[in-house]
Amino acid sequence: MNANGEANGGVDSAALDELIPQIFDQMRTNQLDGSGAAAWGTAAVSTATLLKEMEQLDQIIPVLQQLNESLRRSTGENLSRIRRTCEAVNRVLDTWIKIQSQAGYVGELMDDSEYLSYMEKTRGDEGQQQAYMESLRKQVEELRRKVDERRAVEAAAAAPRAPERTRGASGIPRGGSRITKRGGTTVRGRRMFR
Amino acid sequence: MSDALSTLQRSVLEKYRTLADCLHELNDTLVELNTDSDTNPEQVLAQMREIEVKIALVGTLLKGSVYSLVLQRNMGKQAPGGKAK
Repeated sequence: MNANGEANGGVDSAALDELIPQIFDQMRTNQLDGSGAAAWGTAAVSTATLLKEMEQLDQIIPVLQQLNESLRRSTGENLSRIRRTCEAVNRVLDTWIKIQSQAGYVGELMDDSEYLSYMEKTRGDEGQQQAYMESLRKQVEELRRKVDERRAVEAAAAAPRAPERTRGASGIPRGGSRITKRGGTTVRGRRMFR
Repeated sequence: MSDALSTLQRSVLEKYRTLADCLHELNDTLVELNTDSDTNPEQVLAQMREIEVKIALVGTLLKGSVYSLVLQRNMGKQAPGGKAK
């Protein structure tokens, strides 16, 4: 687009360079060829036209100069500031999206009494966090030790009864109840012999 | 040919030359603004489009969070013995 614009600008300026002298030549020729009032009138119109044209150019040129100055000074700075602002907004939005994507997990944490007590006691202090975790580990170890002891006691209490359940008074295992309850002839026969 | 021009004509031509210079400077300024990486409008526009998309995403996530919260409160109220959070 810039290349086309420059090309068009080159053509236009070249055409202008050719056209403007031609126009002035034509005007001068008309002025020389004409006679009397007509020739004088053409010259007067040309002068008036030129004066008006120069007045309009005097209005246009400062506007363009001011526009160029504004663009050169302010627009670049403003665009740069807009770009920095956009980058900052993008970062903020990224962070916000990360936070909100964890909203469900955060909601569960806010309802978790364990986590709330942890936050209440530590208050973000790293030393307190470690102390809290250490106390929790000690509690867990204590509970685990108690559970082991309780299991050992229960196992010791249950150990003497175990032979009574599985063996008879002589220590010989009883016959399987399934066998006696089955409807086989052998079982019936055994019962009959007893 | 320049000798044949009147003073007024020379002045007008001079004004046109100034006008052409102004337009060339304006063109240079715009080209510089377009090519500079710090002020490239295309990059600014791309970032603004990215912001547009992210704001829509943030709005959707916020609505979802509020809806989830309202739903949890309603369920807490309706549940027997449940407490409203």
